[in-house]
Amino acid sequence: MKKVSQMRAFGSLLSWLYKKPATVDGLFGFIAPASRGFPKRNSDLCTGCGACNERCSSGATSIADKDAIRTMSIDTLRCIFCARCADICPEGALDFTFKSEIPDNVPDNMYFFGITDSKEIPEISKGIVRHICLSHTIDEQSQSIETTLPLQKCPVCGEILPVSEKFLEVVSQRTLEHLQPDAAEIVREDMKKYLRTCISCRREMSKEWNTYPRKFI
Amino acid sequence: MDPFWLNPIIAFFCGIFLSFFFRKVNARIQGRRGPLIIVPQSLHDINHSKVLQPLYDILKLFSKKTIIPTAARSLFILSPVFAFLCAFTACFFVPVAGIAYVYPFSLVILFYLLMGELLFEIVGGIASGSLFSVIGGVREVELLLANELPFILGTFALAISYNTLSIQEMMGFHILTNPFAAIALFLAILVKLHMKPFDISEAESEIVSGLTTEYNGKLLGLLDATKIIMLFVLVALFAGLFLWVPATGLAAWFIFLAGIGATVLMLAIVHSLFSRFRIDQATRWLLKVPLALSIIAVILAVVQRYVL
Amino acid sequence: MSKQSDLFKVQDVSRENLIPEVTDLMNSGARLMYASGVDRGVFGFQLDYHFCFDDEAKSRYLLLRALVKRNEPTIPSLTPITTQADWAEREIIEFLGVKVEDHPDPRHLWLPLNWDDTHAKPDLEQNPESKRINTDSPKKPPSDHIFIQPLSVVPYGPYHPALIESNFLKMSVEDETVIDADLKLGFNHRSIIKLMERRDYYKDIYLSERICGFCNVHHTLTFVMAVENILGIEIPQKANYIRTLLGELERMKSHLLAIGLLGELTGFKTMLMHSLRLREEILDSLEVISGQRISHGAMTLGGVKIDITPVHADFIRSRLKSLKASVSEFFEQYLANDILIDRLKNVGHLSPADARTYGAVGPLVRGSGHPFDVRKQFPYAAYEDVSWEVITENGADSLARLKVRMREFMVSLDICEQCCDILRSVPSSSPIVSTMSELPCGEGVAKTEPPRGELLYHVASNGTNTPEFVRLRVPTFPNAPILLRLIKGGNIADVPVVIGSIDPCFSCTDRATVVQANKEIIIQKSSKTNESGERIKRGGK
Repeated sequence: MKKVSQMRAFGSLLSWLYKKPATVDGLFGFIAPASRGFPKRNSDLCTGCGACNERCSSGATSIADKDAIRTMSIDTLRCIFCARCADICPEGALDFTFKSEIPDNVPDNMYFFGITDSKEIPEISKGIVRHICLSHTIDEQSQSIETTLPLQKCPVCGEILPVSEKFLEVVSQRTLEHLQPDAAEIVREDMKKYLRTCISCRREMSKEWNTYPRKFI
Repeated sequence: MDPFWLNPIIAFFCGIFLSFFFRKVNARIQGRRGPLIIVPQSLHDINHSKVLQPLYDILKLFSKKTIIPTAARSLFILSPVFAFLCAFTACFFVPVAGIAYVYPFSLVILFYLLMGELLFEIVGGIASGSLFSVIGGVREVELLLANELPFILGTFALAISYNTLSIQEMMGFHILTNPFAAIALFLAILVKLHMKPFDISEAESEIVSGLTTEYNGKLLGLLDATKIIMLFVLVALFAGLFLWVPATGLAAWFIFLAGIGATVLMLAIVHSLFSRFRIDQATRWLLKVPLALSIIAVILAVVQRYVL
Repeated sequence: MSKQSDLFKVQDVSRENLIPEVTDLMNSGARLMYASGVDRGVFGFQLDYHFCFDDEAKSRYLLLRALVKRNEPTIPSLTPITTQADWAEREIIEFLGVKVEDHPDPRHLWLPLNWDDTHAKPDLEQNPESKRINTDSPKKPPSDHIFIQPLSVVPYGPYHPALIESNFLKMSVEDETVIDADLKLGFNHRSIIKLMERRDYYKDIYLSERICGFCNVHHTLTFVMAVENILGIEIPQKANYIRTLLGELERMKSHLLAIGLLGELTGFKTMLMHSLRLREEILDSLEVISGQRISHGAMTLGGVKIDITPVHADFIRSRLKSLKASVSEFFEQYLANDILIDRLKNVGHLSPADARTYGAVGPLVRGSGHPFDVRKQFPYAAYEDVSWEVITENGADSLARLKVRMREFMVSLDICEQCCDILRSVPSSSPIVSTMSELPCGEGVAKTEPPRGELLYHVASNGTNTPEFVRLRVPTFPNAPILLRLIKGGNIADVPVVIGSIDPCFSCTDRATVVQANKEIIIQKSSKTNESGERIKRGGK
């Protein structure tokens, strides 16, 4: 009896001689829809606040200030696609997606991507293929997703502040939104004076501008 | 006169195809594709076909620099050459589609050449000064001692039934008349070629690659070429002795190729279906089953020749 | 549901009382899981001895804490009482410079054995520009007892086909019989614990994920659980089921590869290939859930990041169904091979008593007949809500361990199916992350059962956004010294089999910390090393 079951086991192994091999055709199997895709930054929304840089656990994001320009970049080769920067971004500027590159005619099921030969790759989705085999394209330079933002200059002394113009704009907007109209009027006047000024100028000009602490109750 | 001097060239190229076939069968049982016969269009910058992959492997090794360990002795370099010469010479005596050097004691010569090839491999490995090679060498010697008896007795069973020591005279479809000898010889070939249950002397996970641990470059290429010729020689010997139907011309070639193909298929199946013996288990098993089979084969041959 | 934090107890112990306390504990059936040291600045060195009690139904957890002075860092060694303390104490010696008195074998565990020789160079400190790594040949040979003269030494590693990860196993052999063996770690050392101390908790989750590729779900889960124990928050039930499902999928994935690798180590490559083919189904399931095949990034503080929808659950369910049939066929093929069974039977025999004495964990101890499983003794995630049994085998050899893995695979499959059924019925709007308050000061300990055994995390918070310290003990840490005991006296051909049956993960073990090169201590240590080297040399003859 034991011999019979042994022979059956050997037979089932041998049956692989005429079965189809288990290895996947072509280079890839399938891409699951849960695959997060690549980070994409909407440059119109990004304020350069640096929250993504604070949250990134792999050190893929970086902020570089040079010549009054702030460059926010993500190194896609270092990115581990955890999407925590997208979660934390206060402006919702970051997104992880393939969506803009996927053609409309691809069916919306689990296996939208079963390549058997390079001929069968849809022309539009070749971009996706190149992105996915990052490890294969060593010659290619690391792709970085960059956004450049002008930095704020102090209107008094001309010193470059470590914040972008857009960030201050958004900050003042948000602050004013939550204030009473009469208080907002005073704050707007104050902000015009000192929000974009550097610290030393603010101290020097405080008497002239009369920006002592106010109480809005 | 028969063109027996073509045998080594046929052996080398046939051996490459057999090696490819062996890899392919092995891969298919493992659920893989194996070396592709037709490579898809997208990978054509690599190659169009992988049938000659064993040849490319050897050519790659021959294009590489050979590093010789400081602890190695001169036999380290000489042994692969001698082993290759042994295998090369053995090709003359093994019938390729019925063609071989006609000599009345060719079986005895073949025994010595096959054993000599293994011995030179052992000597070269031990001369490398590597510990893994030494362990591999000791294992190889143990296997050789346990294996030589069934190998010789299995072939001598046929020699007894034909009363000759010339391989050409004892060829035939003997797998039916003396199946025990066929099984004994098949198992002996497994050991001689280091196929799976008996690849103890080059067990990768235990002693890296045994005797050939320190070999590299051109010397390893030479050893690989020897291995391919040995595969052909032993398979052709088995096909000639047990799977041969007397014929001439194209029919002979067809029968011969079918015979070696079937033998390699069986070897590949056994290779992929079993795990490795430990050395003590292997020697015990070799001295039990194949020896018993070969003794039965000899008794059967004696009975067939003298009693019936 | 009783939480792990309720069973956790810290007890201070003085330096003098340590030996009697530990002797009492060991007599009452305790197991020393780990001994860790923390540098507490002016307070001195804090030494934590983690004990658990396997015999009790709901296993208790005791932490003995001794504080030694900074100017006099000595502590009596526990290794004479129990060998379970051996490697942990060597680690303390190495990382903190605490002098462990009467340790029988205080050699380097992580650093090179000739480290003292190369790094006690006087000009190194005076001239910071000098070479950081000394490439000169050592002045004296490495203090290494393994080179016993008439015998030859077989090196396995740092790179060897039998070892998937790099470590250095040295064996002195006599006619293919292993007389003595020694293991050298530290080839994958990446200081992950130290890195965790300077990053915030959310970044630490991703860091702990990268300690091990095989058990990344369990590493993140254990770290997250330890922090949650500090917070004292409840996890949504759906998140618990998702955690259980991910953990069990990972166990199946790892066990299948371990089974295949054992085949490859005994020369049965066909089995490895087929196990990889079957493993692909599990990897596909995980990819569908998380988008990644290996590291999923699924855990977060207070729950999970990734939701499992009914569609996902159905997909996994269908994959598991096809897997169930093909895997049982695969196991049949595996066990039908008589040559393979002969290679495994009676190889690496670890008797049930020895398994307790040496403190084995995971399939190693379950293969010796003890039903020790953290999932039952210390329930976490949703293991109390699904029905399953602990697997044990009585063979105590490599074959028994293989069978434990095979049967555990089927149990995991069952648990996964139960989880999928529950997740399919849970409304999709139910929460997967609970809200958190501020992290208080405190300590948290968590244990889980990764595929290889028991994983322990000890996290302390000081109220800031980075942990005060993180200490972790991986399952291979107690199992690797047992590996050395098992291969001693056996054939050299059995060494890969024993390694494969224990399935060690040396990259896990090589996580770890900072090196403090205190010159005085180094000199003291080197003199001791010589003595012990001599002693063992005599013993060998």
